[in-house]
Amino acid sequence: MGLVDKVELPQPIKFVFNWGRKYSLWVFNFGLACCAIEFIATSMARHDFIRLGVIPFAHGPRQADLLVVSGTLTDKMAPAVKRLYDEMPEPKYVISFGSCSNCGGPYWDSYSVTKGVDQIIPIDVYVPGCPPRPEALLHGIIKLQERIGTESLKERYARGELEPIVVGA
Amino acid sequence: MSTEQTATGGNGGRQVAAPPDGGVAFQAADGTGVGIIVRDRADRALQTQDMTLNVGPQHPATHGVLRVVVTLDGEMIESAEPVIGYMHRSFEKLAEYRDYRQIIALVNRHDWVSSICNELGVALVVEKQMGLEVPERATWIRMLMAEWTRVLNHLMFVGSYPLELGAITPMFYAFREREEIQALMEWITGGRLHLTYCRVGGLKQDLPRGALQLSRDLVPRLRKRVKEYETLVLGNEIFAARTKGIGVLPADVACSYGVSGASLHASGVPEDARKTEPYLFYDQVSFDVPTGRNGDCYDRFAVLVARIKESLNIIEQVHERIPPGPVATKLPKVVRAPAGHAYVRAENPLGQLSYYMVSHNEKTPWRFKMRTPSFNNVSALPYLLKGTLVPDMIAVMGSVFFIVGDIDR
Amino acid sequence: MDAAALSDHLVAEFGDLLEPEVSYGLLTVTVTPDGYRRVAEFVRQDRDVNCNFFEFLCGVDEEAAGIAVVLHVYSISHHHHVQVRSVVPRDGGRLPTVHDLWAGANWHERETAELFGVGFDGHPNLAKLLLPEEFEGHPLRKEFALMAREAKPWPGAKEPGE
Repeated sequence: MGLVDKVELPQPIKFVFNWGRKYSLWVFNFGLACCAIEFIATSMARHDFIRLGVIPFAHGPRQADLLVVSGTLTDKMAPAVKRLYDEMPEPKYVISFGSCSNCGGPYWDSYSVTKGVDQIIPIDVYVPGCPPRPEALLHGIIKLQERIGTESLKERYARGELEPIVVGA
Repeated sequence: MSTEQTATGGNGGRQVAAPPDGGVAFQAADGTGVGIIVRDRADRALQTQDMTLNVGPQHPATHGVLRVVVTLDGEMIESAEPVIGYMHRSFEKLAEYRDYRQIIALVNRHDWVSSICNELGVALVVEKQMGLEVPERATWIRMLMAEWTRVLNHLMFVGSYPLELGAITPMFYAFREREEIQALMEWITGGRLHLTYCRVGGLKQDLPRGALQLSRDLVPRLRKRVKEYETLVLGNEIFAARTKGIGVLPADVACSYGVSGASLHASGVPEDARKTEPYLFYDQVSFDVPTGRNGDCYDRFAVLVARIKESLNIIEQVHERIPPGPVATKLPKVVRAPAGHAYVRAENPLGQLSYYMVSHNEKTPWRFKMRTPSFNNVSALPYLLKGTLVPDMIAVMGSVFFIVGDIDR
Repeated sequence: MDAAALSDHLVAEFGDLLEPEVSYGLLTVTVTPDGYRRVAEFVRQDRDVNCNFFEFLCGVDEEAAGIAVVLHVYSISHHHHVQVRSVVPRDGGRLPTVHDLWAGANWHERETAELFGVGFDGHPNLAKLLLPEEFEGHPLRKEFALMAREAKPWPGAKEPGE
């Protein structure tokens, strides 16, 4: 990252910097299962998360700031998620959308399902539900934007993993 | 292998005949001439080398996580092998650990855009084995919900298939309609996607007051909009050029693969469980099974749009037929299906769904086989993709209309 | 043809080789693994049976008796179903492939081989279909326990059926 992760930026610069970052979240939808349909519904006219500055047109993980994992992660798929996450540039955020990606959901006893994406990659926001309503995703995005708005990147990198946000908790 | 290649562009090339030197010639789909033939200085067809291209599992052009390994000779696909299993969640094993009520909540997740139809299949197979009589009102409401689900499902593909071909607008329209239907379903069942409305022996609850009226109002509105889709997408010249004559599936091949639903109907086989082996009260309503003639991508899509209209016809007839009465039967505290095996088939939005259940008179089934439509439909992809051009690959893959969870279960 | 007539027709052709059973209107004929391929060919090619639509092929764990392989086909022209069932031993059970009769059987046989450990002679590519390469065991067999269930009790308030 260079400067921002070593030096504490002065407050006005930090404010402008974070303000810019939080309203241009290029999102990469890792649509796996049912929840992907609700993700698409959120991006469409009625719920329309583009009004929050979330832009669902990232062509690939390398152009994305935010990864939304929506759906069941299987053991066969897990290496691809890890690789995708590693391809994203810092600073990067991950929303785990739906019970399956949170903890395995209804497939908690399955032989082929990974019990949560957090076993593979760090998660910033958990959105529970099976599938969650589009409003829940909007809530998660707003919570994430609040965090981005006040965070110091120096602290983010110094502390490693942050306490995740849980929508509705 | 040497190849004569043509830049057929938007017309979508079709292999016509093999020239004597073993190459392949291409002709435009509408028969208007052959494009540029690439030849080297010695007037031989251009030498090409086979290349293996991996598409997916996460790829913007495939909805869901389907991976296809294709072997290319220049622009032509020599062989394609779908690699599935990225969404294998072991439904069949989990069903052996869950009782019949819990299975209903489980199965509406395998094909996530037709949940009511899936749970209906489970309810039907358990009821068949237990010999349960379902109240008439419940059966009619099940039909109403199943048909709305079909519309909901088809709208998804009516939006996403043009999107895969590069047209973004239909998706926005489709989701506008989907939200309206989902609002109705949410009012009735409490769920947006996974409704869990069916129960063994009936339904979870009766329709709320006024829901039927909303459903009545929705039908003419949707009918008007389906007409818009027809002019917007089916009437579009570019869409027709990219889909006509592409990915032709002959009827006998379709049957041999067990392809069903819109893809089978487009090949001219009107095999529909609602007609040939009616379940619920489908024998008491009148509707058509739209079929195509050519079995190409365009026909598959046209059949899909026509199926929406037929579903709306059924819904209108159902509105007038729902009798008063109870919506559920009294069940014992522990539901046990008697020992034996039963099979039930139903026409899901994506094709034929069958459940085959072996029971040992326990509270959980002994074996619960799901025959899902997408699995068989996608298994025909190697046949469909062989010999097509790379630009047509997405057109062919999208036109089979599958849900990844429905392939892998 | 209805299930009874179909059953008579098949018995007339094969006699004692198959054991017909009608359950909830569905005809199931049980054959030995040796006769499986012959019956399948007949069901596909006989003009009166003509089951040209492939439905599914799956395994059923029958514990001590072995693994039953169930082939279910349907006739588009005559509107009837036939289910051919054959029981193979648990260890090293093999059946001839039917993928040349119904192309759809290709993937179904791969799936059955992977989930139940039944071999199919003559199949072009019996590689794993659904599970990752490194997965061990045949998960749909009854002896395959779900590890999550072993390690953790059912998180719901009640057991299934209570």
